[in-house]
Amino acid sequence: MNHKPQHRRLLASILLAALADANAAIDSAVYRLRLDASNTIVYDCERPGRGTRASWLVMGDPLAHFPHGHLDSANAGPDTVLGMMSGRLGSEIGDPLLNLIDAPDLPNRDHAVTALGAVRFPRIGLSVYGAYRYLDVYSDRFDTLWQRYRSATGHQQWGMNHDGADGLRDEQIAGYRVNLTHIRAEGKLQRYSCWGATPYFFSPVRYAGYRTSHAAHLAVSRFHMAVQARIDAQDRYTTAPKPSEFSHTELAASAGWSYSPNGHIHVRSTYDNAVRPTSVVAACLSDSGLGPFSAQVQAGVTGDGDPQGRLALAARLGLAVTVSADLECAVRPRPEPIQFDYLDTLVRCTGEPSRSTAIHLSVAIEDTGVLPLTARLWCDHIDRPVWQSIRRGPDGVVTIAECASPAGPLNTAGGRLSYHVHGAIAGADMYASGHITLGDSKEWRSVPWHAGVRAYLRSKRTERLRAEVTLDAAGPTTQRYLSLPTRSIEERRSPTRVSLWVRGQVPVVSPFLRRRLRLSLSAEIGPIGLTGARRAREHPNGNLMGPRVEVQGQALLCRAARATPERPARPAPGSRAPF
Amino acid sequence: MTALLSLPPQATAATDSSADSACLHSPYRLQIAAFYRHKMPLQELTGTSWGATDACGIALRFPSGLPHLSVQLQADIAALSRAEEPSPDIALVELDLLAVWTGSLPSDVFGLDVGGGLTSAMIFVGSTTLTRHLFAMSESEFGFQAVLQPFVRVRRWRVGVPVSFVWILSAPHRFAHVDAGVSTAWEF
Repeated sequence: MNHKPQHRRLLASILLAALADANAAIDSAVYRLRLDASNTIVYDCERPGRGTRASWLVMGDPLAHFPHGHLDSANAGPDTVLGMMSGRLGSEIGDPLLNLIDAPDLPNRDHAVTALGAVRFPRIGLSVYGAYRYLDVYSDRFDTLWQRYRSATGHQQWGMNHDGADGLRDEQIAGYRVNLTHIRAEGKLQRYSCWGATPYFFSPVRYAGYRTSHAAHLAVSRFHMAVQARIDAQDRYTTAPKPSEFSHTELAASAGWSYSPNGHIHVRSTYDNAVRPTSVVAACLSDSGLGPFSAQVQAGVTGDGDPQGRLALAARLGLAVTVSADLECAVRPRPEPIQFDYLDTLVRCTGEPSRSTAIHLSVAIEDTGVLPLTARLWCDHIDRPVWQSIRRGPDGVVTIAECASPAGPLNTAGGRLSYHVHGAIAGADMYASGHITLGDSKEWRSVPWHAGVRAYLRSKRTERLRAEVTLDAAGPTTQRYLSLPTRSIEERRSPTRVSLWVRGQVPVVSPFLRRRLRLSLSAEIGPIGLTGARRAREHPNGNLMGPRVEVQGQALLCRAARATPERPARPAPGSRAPF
Repeated sequence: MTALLSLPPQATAATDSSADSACLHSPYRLQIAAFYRHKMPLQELTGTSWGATDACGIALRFPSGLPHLSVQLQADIAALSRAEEPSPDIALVELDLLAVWTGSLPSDVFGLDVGGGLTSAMIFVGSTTLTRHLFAMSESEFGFQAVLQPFVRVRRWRVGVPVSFVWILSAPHRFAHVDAGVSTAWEF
């Protein structure tokens, strides 16, 4: 029996599932707490309390894969796209502009620029791209903190230089992608200069350097193998009194074998010198060919000899209902200890590896195409949820440490509902999720509910003509800290917010190469705050930001117009994820 | 439900292809224009008494593939100064992205453009050198613009009298001005 097509579909689905992670905003319980234009904290309301490294430096947006998000959206259409160029200019409304001449100390709300170019050579399966990004909107939070820093320390030479090159994020990227019959590979070289945020104080910390990452995936018959390497030569705090250098290396390798159309086994080994223990080896067996049941068993061991494992069982009842149970015993690694200065205070962050056991039960109703409804109910238990403690020593030194929850195990229950309607000229996505804590449990960080609706109109003739409105709301965000030695709980809370986005795109007919060039211009305005909430600068929910305007132009070079029908595609969930 | 409401790919391809051929035969072709504007800042909105100024610019208008609708990109530059007191040299550059609806009278000689869209105002204060960080060395802010332009068309030549209102959403004071001028365009 030839299982090749099934194996390829299985491997393709694994790969697509990994790539789709960036768009997992609407159809998942993941919520983004955006500090500013560059830095985001990812909050998973379905599995709270597991945030590895969530309490350390916030660096970038884990869900934004620039420039791959742009490239994938361009390549979502026909396969004959040979090249693309796009440019985007954005600015937050409310910049002082001419008011700066009379009042130079007004908070500055700078702009964002992104540019991208890519060329594809279909015959040899190669794509190359280059991208530039400068993000500096919502940066007045940093201005305020730096002004306070200068007045407290007298260090006038340190700070964010808005008149130079120091945006919140300033980076150049060049990369490649290879897609052959058996091999897929991609890699990039990146120069970056960014501002992150410290734990608790959310004060700025600069990191800059060079990063290169490469990944390759080989699939031959039933066997597949993948390797991944990432090296990051980083300078941290380069404008603070105590700069440090750190070379971050991450390596991963996996090999797998499909023993049946539905059965798969693979072994994976990882190395990361930013955490302790640095290495993990794990084996995973998954089988979905057990009648209505599917199972996954995973077992591994860390470099320190600590075992960890996971057992997941799922049963499919009827056409669309799935019941799942998940038992996980994991070792959460300890991040590298750091220290930084907040104003004139020395802050030390420490932690220890900790073991936790979690149980997750869920019932899901999937979108079958007949009824475009997805629903999910779950309950979750974790015996050692992650918390953060603050100790202010008599010598003025502040110590931040990860600790076990003072409220004991965390038990939560919640649900998620999404409904999609997509027609020829109009469509809508509606989504809502929420959860509660059971008993005396308390989350370290919580967003109790999140809901929204996105509606669009588009032309029957071309996907490039469309208008879109998104209304998004989230409940109050709470962040708790255990204050030592009194063991009292300190709470920070930001209010409920309701925001509106408006987006439009129009096609443009090229004056030359009309059958090959597809041009479009788009503009986006948002988030327009409807609740009147003000900014909360020192909070994980970040700024309740004012609306910004972004204008984008895009050009696609296609092989031939008649051979490249432009199909109105169902929008990728979360591709325009509100925040 | 999704499958019932969606167009099959073949049908979509056909309609898209016909849209492209409609564009090829559209009377609205690429236009290149040069224009002059007299900008009159509205003092009660800007908080400062900025003097009226003159601006020159160029515009490119692309057909959108839809009847009567085109997309216009334009840029102009002006020197701005206070009306009643000395001020530093300020270069004001405005970049506009407009959707323009064009209506023609039966004679096909006179017409009217009605447009609206986004404006990005950039200011450069003092002497500025051009570096790769040009965008980082300026201040910019978005706003909205509405345009009304009666025009006369003789073959491919057009002469218009644009009147526009620009509302820049800066803070704490807005920057708003009313413009009037003349434009001349060549239609390819």
